[in-house]
Amino acid sequence: MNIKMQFADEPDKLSHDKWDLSFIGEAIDERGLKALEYITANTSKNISFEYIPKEFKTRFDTDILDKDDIVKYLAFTNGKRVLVDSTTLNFAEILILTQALIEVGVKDIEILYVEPVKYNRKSKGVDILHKRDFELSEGIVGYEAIPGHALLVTNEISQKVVFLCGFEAERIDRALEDSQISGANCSCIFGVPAFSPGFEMDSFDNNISVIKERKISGGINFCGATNPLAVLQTLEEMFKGLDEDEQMFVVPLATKPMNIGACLFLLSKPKDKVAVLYDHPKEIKGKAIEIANWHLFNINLS
Amino acid sequence: MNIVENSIAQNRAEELGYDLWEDFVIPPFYDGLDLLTAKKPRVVVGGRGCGKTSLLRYLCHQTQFSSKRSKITETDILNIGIYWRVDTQFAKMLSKRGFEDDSWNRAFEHLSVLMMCQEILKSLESIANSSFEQFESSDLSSFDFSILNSFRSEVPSDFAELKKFIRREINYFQTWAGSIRTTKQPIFFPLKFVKELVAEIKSQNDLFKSTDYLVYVDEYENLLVDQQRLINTWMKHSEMPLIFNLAMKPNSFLEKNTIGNEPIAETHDYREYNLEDYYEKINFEVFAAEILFLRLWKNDNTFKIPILPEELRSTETDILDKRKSDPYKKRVLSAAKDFLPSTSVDEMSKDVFTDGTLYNRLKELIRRAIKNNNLRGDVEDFLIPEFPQAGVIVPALLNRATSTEEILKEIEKLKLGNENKFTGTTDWIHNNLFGCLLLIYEPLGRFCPIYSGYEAFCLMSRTNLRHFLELCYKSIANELLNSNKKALKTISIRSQAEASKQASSTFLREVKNFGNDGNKLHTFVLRIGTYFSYAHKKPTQSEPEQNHFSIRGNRSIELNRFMDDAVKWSVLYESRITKQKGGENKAESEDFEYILNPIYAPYFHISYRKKRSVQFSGDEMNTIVFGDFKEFQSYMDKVLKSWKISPADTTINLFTQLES
Repeated sequence: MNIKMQFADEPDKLSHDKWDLSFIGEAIDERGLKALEYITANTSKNISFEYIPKEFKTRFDTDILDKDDIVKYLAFTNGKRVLVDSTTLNFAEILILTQALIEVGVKDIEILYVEPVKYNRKSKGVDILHKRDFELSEGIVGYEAIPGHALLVTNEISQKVVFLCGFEAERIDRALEDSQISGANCSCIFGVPAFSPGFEMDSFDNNISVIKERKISGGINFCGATNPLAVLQTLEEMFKGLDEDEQMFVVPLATKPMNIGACLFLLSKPKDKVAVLYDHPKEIKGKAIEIANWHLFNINLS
Repeated sequence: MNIVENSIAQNRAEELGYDLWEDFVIPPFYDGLDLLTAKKPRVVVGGRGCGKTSLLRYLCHQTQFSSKRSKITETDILNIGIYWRVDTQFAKMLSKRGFEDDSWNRAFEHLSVLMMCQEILKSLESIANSSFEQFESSDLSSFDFSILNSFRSEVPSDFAELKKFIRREINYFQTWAGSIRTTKQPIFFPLKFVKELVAEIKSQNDLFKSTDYLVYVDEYENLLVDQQRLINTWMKHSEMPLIFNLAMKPNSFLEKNTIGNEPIAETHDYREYNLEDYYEKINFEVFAAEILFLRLWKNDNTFKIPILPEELRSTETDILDKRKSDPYKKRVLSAAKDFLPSTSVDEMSKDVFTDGTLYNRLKELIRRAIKNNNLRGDVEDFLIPEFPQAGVIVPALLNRATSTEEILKEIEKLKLGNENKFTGTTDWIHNNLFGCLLLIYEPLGRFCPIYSGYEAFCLMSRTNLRHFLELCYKSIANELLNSNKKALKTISIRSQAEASKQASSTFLREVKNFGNDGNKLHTFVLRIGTYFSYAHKKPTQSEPEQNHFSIRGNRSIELNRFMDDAVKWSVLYESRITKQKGGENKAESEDFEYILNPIYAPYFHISYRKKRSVQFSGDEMNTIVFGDFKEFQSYMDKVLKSWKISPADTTINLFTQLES
């Protein structure tokens, strides 16, 4: 797998050819709208995609089908120039799509991400103790397996769990609450450098008490918040350290580029060795404010 | 003594692993549970942190045949416990996806069979590796499981090979479950496979001829409904030598159907044990102290304790009786109170008159009462340092209809040692002191001694051992930080009170993770806590220490469901109340009152004692539970106006955290 990364403060400065197909989600903020506007102008055909976790269904425009049937459905994408818009699609959707595209035989996938200037903090009546609280998710489905990327959490064999940390520490807490995972087997990756100076403090501050309370003691790592390659490489290093019998779970709760790194890791490793734990949050409308850099990640799978 | 990093800090069963032989304290009601001997299924119910998982893990082979256990007899192998907690995030994937429900049921049954067989084989290893002399590791290879190849020809007959085979099957099942369209479906094993395995073990080695296997399914409530029905079916048809037992949170046993026509029914098919009800019947304070001292001793064997650790893991009747005896309880409780001392309300009242800040606060409350109620008299007229308990409650009396003349007259009587309303049958002090002390401490931002002391810790924990241990752990950590002492014999009031605030905040934050409606529950706790917090600030203190409630009138299904969920997660405790309908000789009706989990009391600076209740209408409760921020704020504004409290009277605006 080969990854090329580029970013610019305006999309026109990004270097790429026109796409034949773009998979897009629903825009919930200004950057989403701008991303879709740009994609529409540079793509022959947009396909709206959605994953419905509890039902294990997917929706391509108006076609609804089982998640297990999408490889067949996507056969037409082989040989096409494909873009996946990670600004408007969530982690599970990106993972399911890219996995299916690989199975179809697509060799190059481009992933677009539009970075926000800031995130929406809790706006009214915020006191000093809650100034790092953000309004990012309006509801969470809960930790539910994504078919194809799931393993049993068990004490029978040693399992390492890597949390990619964002602002919402309660999601880590819930993962440990709902499972038999011990904090001693868990480690964290924080996004440093962050999108913007100071963001990393919000993330540290929000997560530190959960790390302490849950006795997460497997180590702390740092990767650039906009750098999927760094996350991929860090996870690969951890993977190399696994014993023959060990398995690894990745819990992507961080920035989208970091979660893309996790996604690429999951795509590239044996399914009986690595899996994902994901809680399927429904992102809140207007979660991000303004637009910073535009990122384009070119993933070569050959 | 580095207590902090060790025994006390581990307050979840998951952190202690499966072998709890040296960590588990037999609850004094153990002999009434018959969990290891019952021939009918049992359902263990209990809120988070009450010790369910620890109890189940204690019953299971890893603990019962622990290498740390010195004496194991043939009686011990008559009942072998299997702990089974299904990974629900994975199990949820075994549904829909264009596959028939019936097929998923068979797939789930297959996975369950494999997991149970794996544990049954491990239980034999546990016994072989234990101090039980009649069964050695070499005996494992004597089993011939060839009968199992009637299910599938590849099933090996040798113990070690069978173990490997099962592991491979589990791995293959995971692969198949992830890609059901492209991977060949395994041949699913029925429950009969487990029964045959058990039958072979029993028939091939005389030691096991009377052995029963007891499977304990933990966190049953997190399974899908179809999966629950399947397990209900196994439970309904449980018979020796394979009995299924369940463990779950309160209000969670909602699905009683089986995959057949008959649902399961309590008494006929199973018996339910509510652990928290048992705790309430025994002396929880003694049990909690035993656990605390065992942990302290485990960490540092030189720590002087009032218990014998080996007795705490004995199930012998005479030892259990000894632990229930008065002299024993007195000794243990006395040691616990020495380790976590408290300040009496009398001492706290004296502090109000000797500590400058507290004294100024008292004077300010009296001054405000005189001014707001247009009373005659000066602040000094109402200061009675020689009777501090009476002195502390004076501001509340001044805010009531009680005339200043009457108050002054009663103060005079008190001073003269005559019958008076402060201490006599009216007993103003008894009814108001605790609430008035809370009111004095409320805005000062300093530690409040009310939240310290062993008894307070037990009341705040109620029946939650995790909460209790966290309070102890944080107290010890604070003391080590505050005192630089190496050997701790006692924990200061300050360290304890600070720990209460810290633990309270931690556990409040945790509410967000209580299921998919965690955020709603968190918002509810903040709102109801805020309501009680303001109720504690009523100048009259006419109904001090309000911290629980009931709901009058009809309730919507949605509200009932929410209340059930809050009880399930132990955010609220539910208690039955009996009401008389329309006077004498009329039918009684049952209702519930709800107690906010007292662990949240320090956060909201409210009382953890169950004293006074408030009755909400269904509409009011709907606003508190489901109303948006503005609706709740407007409701609270009205309430505060009726209580003559201005939000500006408080130093911190509690509304700031209430947005959902």
